[in-house]
Amino acid sequence: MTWAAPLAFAWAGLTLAVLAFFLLRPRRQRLVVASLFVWRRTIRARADDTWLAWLRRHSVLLLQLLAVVVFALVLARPERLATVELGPPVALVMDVSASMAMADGDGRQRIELARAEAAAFVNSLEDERRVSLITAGAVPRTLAAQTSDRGEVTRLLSGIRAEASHGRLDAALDMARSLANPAAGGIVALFTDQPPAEASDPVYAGVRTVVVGEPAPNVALASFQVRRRLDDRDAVQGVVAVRNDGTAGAVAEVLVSAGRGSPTSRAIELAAGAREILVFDDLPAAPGYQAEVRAPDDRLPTDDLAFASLAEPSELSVVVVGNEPWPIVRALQAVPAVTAQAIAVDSYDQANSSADFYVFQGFTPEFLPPASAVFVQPRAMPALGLDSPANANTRPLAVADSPLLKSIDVGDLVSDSDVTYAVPPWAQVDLSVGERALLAHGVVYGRRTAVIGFDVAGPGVTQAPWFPVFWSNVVRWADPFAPLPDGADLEPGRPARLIPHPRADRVAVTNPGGDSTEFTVPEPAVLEVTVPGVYTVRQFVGQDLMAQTSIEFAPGLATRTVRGGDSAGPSAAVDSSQRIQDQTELWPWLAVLALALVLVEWWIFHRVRGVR
Amino acid sequence: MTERSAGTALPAFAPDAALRAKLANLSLVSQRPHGHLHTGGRRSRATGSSLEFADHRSYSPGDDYRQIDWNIYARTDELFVKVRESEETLVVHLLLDVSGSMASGAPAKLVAAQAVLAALGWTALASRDVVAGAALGNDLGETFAPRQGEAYVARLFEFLDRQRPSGETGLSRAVTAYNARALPHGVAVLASDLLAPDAPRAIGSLAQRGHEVTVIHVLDDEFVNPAFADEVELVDAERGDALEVLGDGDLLRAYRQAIGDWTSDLQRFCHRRHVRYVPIRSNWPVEDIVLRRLREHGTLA
Repeated sequence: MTWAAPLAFAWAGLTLAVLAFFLLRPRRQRLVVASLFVWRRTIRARADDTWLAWLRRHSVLLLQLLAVVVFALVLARPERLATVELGPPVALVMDVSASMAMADGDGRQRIELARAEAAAFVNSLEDERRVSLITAGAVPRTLAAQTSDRGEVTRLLSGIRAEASHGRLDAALDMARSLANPAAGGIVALFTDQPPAEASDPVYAGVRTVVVGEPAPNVALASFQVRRRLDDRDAVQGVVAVRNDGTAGAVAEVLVSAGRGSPTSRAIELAAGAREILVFDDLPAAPGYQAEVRAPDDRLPTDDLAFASLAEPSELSVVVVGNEPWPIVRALQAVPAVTAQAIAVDSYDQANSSADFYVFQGFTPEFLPPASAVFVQPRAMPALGLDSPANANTRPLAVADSPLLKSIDVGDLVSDSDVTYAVPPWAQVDLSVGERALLAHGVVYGRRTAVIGFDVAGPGVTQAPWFPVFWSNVVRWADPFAPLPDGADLEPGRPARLIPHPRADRVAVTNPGGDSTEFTVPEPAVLEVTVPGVYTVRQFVGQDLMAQTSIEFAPGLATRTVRGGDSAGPSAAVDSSQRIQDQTELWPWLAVLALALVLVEWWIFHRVRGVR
Repeated sequence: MTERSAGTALPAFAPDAALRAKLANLSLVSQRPHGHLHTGGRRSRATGSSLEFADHRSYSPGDDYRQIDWNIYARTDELFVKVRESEETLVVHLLLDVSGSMASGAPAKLVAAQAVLAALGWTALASRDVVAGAALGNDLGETFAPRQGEAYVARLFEFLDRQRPSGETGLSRAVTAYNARALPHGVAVLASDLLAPDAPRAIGSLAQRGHEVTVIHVLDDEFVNPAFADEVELVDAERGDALEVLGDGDLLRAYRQAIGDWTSDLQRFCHRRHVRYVPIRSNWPVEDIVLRRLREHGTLA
């Protein structure tokens, strides 16, 4: 059993107050009697068993002390390690721009319709699903992060109002993807009155959009997966799920293309709310595949495009080494396709470090493991150019476009226990305090490395909404399987530097035309895009394929880096549920116990009279 | 608090004229001779020199020749002497418990004990018995030297009136000290609330000394039937220590049961040692105690 807030044990000191009140309590009546001789005989006769009689006499006091101790335990928030089933994450994005305050024909505001739609959507989800709630106003805000409490989400939904400003849907959706990446089985649902104007708008890629205000047909790709045929390993089979989420029927055309080849098309007719699955046999082998659905009446074309590849998905293995690793582990476990485990400092075996990503919490290993590494408030590390930590005495400033601070308000994560470091030459500053860094990241010795100076285990930090968002950002940036850093721009004629996995010794880049270029580590690997399409990056350890990543490049579209094998598409219903070791909160049971103790104490005090 | 009687200030507890008139016909009962053949006011089973004729017996050398019945000699020509009854002096020991606990009650138990002992003392002195007394506290207190005759009634009352309740109860130690004075044994009347663990030992010590003992067990209603229904802190009047109780029905019933057991134990103890045990309450009329209950228990006749 662990304790989320061990400092709350200090509340047990109230037992001293209870004892003091007991000892100093006013006597209600003082009665002088001739002698206590017979009274003592009476009490002796009633108290045959001494300790039992003592318990009976002091039952009220004991119950009061016990109640105080149990309340302290409740406040300390005990947790028990247990295996829990986590469903795929869901992120709700509520458009709260000014237009959402408009009323349609029935007189109801669009924000009301959106709230109702969102509430219905939340209620339709399985219990295991973790829900995040984000508002897309001028400043996107995370109201709830990865919570299973439906009541909390409903309450938060009911409090959402339209703002008198424009909505930053792009930032909000980016935040939502960090919490429920559709490429990894999560669901991002947007409730808005503004369907995207262009189908190719990458902002809405993979987002399940619910448009309120006017009914309209909405044809979308529900999922797109490719797999090798069982009877012919050279042939590829594509499975496309198409659905019409709108309120009117539509005629659509589904096109699937392999690499840069000519697309294969099918025409279908979808009634409102209908769903259809199409199987495209005998697709040629290609590094990447594209599926598209076209419908003339479709009011929301942004969810009509999806990519897929044949590579198997890679699970990111994360190890957190420290004395209080569980809050970080839980945040990491909530990130799709991440397997996180905690290791005590004493149990860390440097020689057998095989994870892809390490978080060292207040602990400095002798050697850097061949993986990405995040150091939380480390001591001085001369090998990395880190000096001794110094207390942060002023408010930090955030660097714009920091990949680690996406969708996070810096003011939320400042505390008195923050420390700063001189900026090492390999690092870029994310948060600065004067000339020093509170948060920095970079690549050193071929490893993505970040240094965190703020407290990630302090009171209330782990419950803050930014906490899972921050660790999701960290994972997205530090994922060693992603050769192209998250958010990197691709432009023809500007080779992009690839960062291979620290264990990879060879990198092969294949362009949409099938031409491959190999790089041997430590030779710098680059990706040079020339034509639109899917570029494939393979990383090898010896002759073994370690990871395969598809990188789509389309001029005019933002580049999406998709880990190998993941299918991307609107409302991708890939089951990414996972069983994880998680801490189960025990405080509700203890709270009930404390309440029962108080009630029993009250009953004994008022109903049962006896010799004390 | 006092009344004028024959020019002497009498304490309130002293028997009034009506009670004295009723007591004049009574005397303390002694069921066995105590061997004090002084001139007293009561007959004895022993023979002596009083005026009361008992029998004749043959003359023996050494007999008082003044006791020879010459009339019988004239008729029978033999010498007979007259045998007369002896008159014994009974010593009555009045022992008053003056510990702090005797102050409790309404009226105080000490007042009731003083009234009873005053009545018995008056009766004894009026019967020409010898009366001695002592105040028993934590140890032997003031004593009243043996006196005989009604002339000492006022001094006995003054002795009783001077006693004030104070200190802890040390009945056994006090009685032992009183016995050590080697006064003649007789009838001992102990008036006490017996609220001490060594009370039975004190009673036994009196009986072992040869006294015919009467224990007047003085209790008060508040002590026997306490009435409180909430948390109270009981404070011992003698020792000052405290005990916190919650006065619920169960506890009060248990207390009353303990009182009953305690008095029953005392009664059985007294019975085994041929001690008269007379339980009284402080608020009972002294006439009722003296004229009815003490007579019922055979202390007065």
